[in-house]
Amino acid sequence: MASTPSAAPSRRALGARLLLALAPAWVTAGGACALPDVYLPPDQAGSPAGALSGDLTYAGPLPCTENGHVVGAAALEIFDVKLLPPPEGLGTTAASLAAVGGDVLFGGVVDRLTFKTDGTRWCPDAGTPPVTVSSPWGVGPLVGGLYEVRGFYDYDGNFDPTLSIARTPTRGDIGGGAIDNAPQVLMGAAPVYRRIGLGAPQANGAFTIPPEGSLVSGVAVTLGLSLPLDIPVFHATDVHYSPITCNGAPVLESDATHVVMPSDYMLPVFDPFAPDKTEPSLVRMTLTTGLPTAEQGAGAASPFGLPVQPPSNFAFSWQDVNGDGMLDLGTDHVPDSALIPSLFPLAIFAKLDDTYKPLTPDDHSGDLVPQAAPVVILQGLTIYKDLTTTASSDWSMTQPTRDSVIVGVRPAVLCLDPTDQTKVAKLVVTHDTDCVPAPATHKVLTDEAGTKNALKKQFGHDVEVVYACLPEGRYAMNLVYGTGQAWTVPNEAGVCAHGEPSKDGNTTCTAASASRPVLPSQDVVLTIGKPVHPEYCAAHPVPAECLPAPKK
Amino acid sequence: MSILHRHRSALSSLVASALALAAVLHGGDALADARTEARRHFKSGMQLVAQKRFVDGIRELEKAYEIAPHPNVAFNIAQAQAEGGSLDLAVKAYKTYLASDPPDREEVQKIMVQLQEKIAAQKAAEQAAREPKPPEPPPSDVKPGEVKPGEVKPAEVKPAEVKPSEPANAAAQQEKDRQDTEKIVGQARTEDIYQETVVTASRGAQSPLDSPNSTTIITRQDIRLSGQTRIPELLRRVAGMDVMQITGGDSNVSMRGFNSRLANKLLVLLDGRSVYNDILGSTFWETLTVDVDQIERIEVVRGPGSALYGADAFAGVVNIITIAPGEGKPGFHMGVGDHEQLYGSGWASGREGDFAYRASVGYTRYPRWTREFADGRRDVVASGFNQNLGAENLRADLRMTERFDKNNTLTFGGGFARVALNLYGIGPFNDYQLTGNVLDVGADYKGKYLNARAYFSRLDTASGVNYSYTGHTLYPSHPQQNVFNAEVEYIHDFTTGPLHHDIHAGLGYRLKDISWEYLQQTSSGYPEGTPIEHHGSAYVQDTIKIGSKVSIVASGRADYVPYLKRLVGSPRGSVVIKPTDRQAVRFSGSTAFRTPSFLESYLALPIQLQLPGVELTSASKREDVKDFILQPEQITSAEASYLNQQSDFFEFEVTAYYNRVTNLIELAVNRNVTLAEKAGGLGGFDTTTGRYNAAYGGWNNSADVYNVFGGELGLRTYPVEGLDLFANYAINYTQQQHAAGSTELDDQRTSHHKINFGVQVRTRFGLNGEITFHYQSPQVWNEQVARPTGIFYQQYNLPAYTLLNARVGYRFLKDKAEISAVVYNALAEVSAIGDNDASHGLGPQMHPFGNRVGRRLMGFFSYSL
Repeated sequence: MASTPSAAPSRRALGARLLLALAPAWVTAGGACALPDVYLPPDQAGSPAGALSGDLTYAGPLPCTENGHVVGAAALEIFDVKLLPPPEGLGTTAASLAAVGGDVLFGGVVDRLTFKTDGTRWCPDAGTPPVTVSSPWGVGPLVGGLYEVRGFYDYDGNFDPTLSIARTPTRGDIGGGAIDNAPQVLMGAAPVYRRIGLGAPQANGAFTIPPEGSLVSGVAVTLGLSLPLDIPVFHATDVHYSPITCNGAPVLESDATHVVMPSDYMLPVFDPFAPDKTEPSLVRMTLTTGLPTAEQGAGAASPFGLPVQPPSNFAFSWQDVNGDGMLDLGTDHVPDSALIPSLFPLAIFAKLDDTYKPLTPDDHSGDLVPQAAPVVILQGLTIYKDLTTTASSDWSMTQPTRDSVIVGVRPAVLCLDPTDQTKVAKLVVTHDTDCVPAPATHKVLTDEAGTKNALKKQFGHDVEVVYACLPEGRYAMNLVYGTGQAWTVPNEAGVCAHGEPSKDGNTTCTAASASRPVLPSQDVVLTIGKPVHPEYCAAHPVPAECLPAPKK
Repeated sequence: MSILHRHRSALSSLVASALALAAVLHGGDALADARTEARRHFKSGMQLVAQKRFVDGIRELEKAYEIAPHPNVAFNIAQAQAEGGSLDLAVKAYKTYLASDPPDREEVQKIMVQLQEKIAAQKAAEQAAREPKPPEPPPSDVKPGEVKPGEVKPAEVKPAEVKPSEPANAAAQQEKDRQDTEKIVGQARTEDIYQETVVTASRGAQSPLDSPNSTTIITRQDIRLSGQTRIPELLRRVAGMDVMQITGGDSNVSMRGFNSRLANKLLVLLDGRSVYNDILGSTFWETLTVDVDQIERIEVVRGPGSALYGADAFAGVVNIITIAPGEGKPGFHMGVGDHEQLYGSGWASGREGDFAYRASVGYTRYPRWTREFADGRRDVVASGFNQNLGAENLRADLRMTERFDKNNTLTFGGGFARVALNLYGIGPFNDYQLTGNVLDVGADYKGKYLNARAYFSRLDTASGVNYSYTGHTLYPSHPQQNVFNAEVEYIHDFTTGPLHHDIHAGLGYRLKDISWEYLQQTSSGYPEGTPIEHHGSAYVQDTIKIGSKVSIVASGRADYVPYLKRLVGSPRGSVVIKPTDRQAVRFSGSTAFRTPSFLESYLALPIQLQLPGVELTSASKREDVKDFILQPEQITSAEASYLNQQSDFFEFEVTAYYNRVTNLIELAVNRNVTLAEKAGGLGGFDTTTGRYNAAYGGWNNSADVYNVFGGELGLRTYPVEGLDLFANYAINYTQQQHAAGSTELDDQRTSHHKINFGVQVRTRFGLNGEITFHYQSPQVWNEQVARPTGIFYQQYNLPAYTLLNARVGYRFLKDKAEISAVVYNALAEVSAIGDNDASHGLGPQMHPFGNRVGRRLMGFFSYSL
């Protein structure tokens, strides 16, 4: 139908009115200047978090150079105080890790460095004056909590946080952190780390990150303490156990590389006042420094680069157990006996994850995965020569070295959830007494309350003692110095990982363009095995708090 | 009342309102789809003229011309006026025809001269009958000495040649005059000029009925009435398209599945020129140098197109065809909306003899839909990019043509855009910024037997992540892409016996020179650096017509891919059977491939992990597999379809397809650095980044096979004048066939069901508009996410969502001016069905990591001379 001249204006007017009515609608409905809403999609980085920043100060020798770069980097590890690393805690990994490369840190003194044209390593002469340099650093995201910043300058460039064999500072590295007593540390005192809260503290002790995030700036980190010790690389060379039968239990059958202790192991004799009688009752492993002779050449070479040719002796020293800065046998002794000082290197056995499913037939990386929830640790007893010598030496005056350490394996483990300090930890002891017939029977925990208090102070958990069988399975062996330097067996050197196919009868692990030998001495575990008396374990089962959480 | 019910209720009300409005408008003199309606009038007019009913026929032709001006209609009006005896009006119509500067203007000028002579003679005869006098000069609107295209020099009219009329029977004289005139004006142009034409599927103009692939056209009318300024949102109305907006500046489009962040399965052409981003393998829609106001139509070829277009025409081809230089009138279009939306476009077009031009400038500003963090955050470091901006584009474009003769034309020109984009990349780059310049210059020659094209395009930008936590990098970088593309095509059609052949054969060359800090660098352990790639290609296609009902299209192309160091072949075959002229049944089979992009071929990027001192090196060059080479993604497709355009009132198409997709390129599961690798010098501290290298990532070809079964049903109808309805439905089921040992999670990122429905209305009194409704069913995405211990795949459910868009406009000042209002996603508050997130009022997500797409309103004003 053709539109008529008279009809068109009225319709046009209608159209105009309609549109005029709609025109302001969009202006009023949305607001022309409204800003986009905030929406963070799931699993995307960006939710409010905590962060730390500040300046890093290095005071130490001039660094080495190689291939046109400064060797090494400052590695700053951020630890949740609930998960401090040994010796203070059980943390196996830091909450975060920041790095400041040597090129950046020493950028201001590059004119004092020499870069060899052939790219080979250059290091300053021994008499070269030290240098002080600084650089900004920062780290995030962190969940709300209380943190310590610990770090070191990896002077020789052999630190690698991704490999357990290279995850610890080595001799000559420059240690430190965010410390409250920097001047004293530079004079040789033990560092007192500053505790930094991120987020708003809550009544229950937790910290909550506010919507705008939490940043603590101006965190000064000082690195100035040259570490004198090599890492305590070791291999198991011997095992001793009691020739005495105990309640009809058979004699243990173990050798140095296959140490098995029954989950219901009962100490034949445990006399806190007679170390010479107690010592034979313990399963004792001899851990020798370095590697077996046959492995030393390979161990010293790439990719391991271990200080094993020649190996350094273990350095024994007294642990300030209560952290009061004083060494006093009244407080700084092992929980078992007030006569025996607690010595470095500490010996800690940590249960491994036995539920790991290999990704390929060649994948042995699961051999190394610790059980994370719950953590199950068995604290070994560090013995210098023998228990009598250990007890009788004047440790406040001496720091002897020795090529081996004897570790007594206590028939007790501690099970705890390191992520939740409100949960009660279980101290599982196989028996409350030794098997000396009454009335000469000895209690194993002579000071249960003191032991519980000491453990609570160390790990932050309330502790409950349970007399039961130990969780069966594989336990990794750790030796830890007071500097935090540590060595763990088993480690990557002893197995081929996923993506590292083995050949030649598991003696070599391969990559597309290289290969490396397997060091069998580094694939040894302590095994808590089947009970001698299953009926005992039936009556005293492993506490549920010690069993691995079901995997999702 | 449930959300779903409210949703349906609101939708029903809106649709009912639209229909009611249409019904009211039907009482007036409304117009529906311009092309269809013009075609209807044209056909009717031509039939009436053939029956010598000139007055009625001319009226119909004039209606067709009014709706959709076309030179041939003006020519036929002139021809009919002449045959009907209205020689003055015929001359006037010829002048209109000549105003389009047709290639046959000299011939038409001769016709006009003869007609003017005839007019002069008639007048002389009439005068002689009353009082014999010399003949009068020709019509007065031709000024002596002033000659314009289409005009006739008065001097060319020779009075001496005017013959005196002969006294005779008037009727016989009239018939003789008509026959004389018919001899002068010749035959009418009966070709179906309003026939829908596509050029993409076969590299030559043809009806969609003859196309070897299903082809859908989005017309200029669709674009105008929709009010959409984003091309991907226009594509959403095409059956089988997968469109998702992830940010305000990042739309990703695929077809028949396999959409993704940085979507890379679709080849997008702009006037036949690839706008494919060779760095990432994707299309950045908001970096184009033209806007929707410069688009004549968009052709969407569904199904693989590698047989003609080579790598990357994997799932289909989108060809954006701009308005030709010289066509249309100068004008502008501007809009402003909530959330600081802005749109502006201005253009000028002109013709001078054989030279024509079209120039345009424009500006677009889209806000983010949502942003990832609020102002005032203390724990993050933000980039300098505007946190509220999704995309910004300031552009200019100039294209010119020079016509040498009827068969030879050269088009040349270039475009420039200054752009800023917020987009979602891959891996950790989920809030990423791109700012810089886009440039292209090129020339396109079209001849009778030979076509040639050469162009250079450049992308020069600065990029980085939008924000990061304290202690983390913002990944600043400067991606640059320089591409030179040249192709030559030989065309020839000939007949051998009962077979008619239409041959297209071509050669192509593409140079890719790309630099980016994220790719292999000479100084970072890759001594070979990022190579300059020289691609070559050759293709041939023969369309063989067997009689009028059957045609066979056989195509094949070979592409040399430097990264693969080999040729990749892409055959295609189609059989088209036409039971009638307006129906077609099509069967086709084809293969296509997508070659690894530069990012996939040469990636070498240390990615900082959550622990800022540790990184994962994501690299194409795999350290655990010697000489690892990614293989191209492959698709093998079979398709059957039926297209019916029999009626002038509706058309519909039904298509069924099967796709087999293999070798999909995906992010590899990261693998830790091993001691053996460390023995080879890998891992450790990266002195360049200042971080410890913990692991390797990169790419993989998926061993899984994807069997995709699907179909599309599309209907477009014009039941009454003034009302244009369209609806389509797409079904897609993907069966993921896991390879032995595969640990990949099931991925159902393509909705099983997608529905589009739309209503368009145009009235003579100026009111016009459109309402479109889009629904797509839920999806399950398998995406990688970063965890403290590495990067892992995880499944994400994406709820179904709907979009309701509407536009209402009003034209005035003789249709030269128009104001309009547009609402996008009108149902935003209720469309996130099944979403329990506290922020449900923000609108749906189209990707698990995407912005919440909310409602936006805009008002526009346009004017053209």
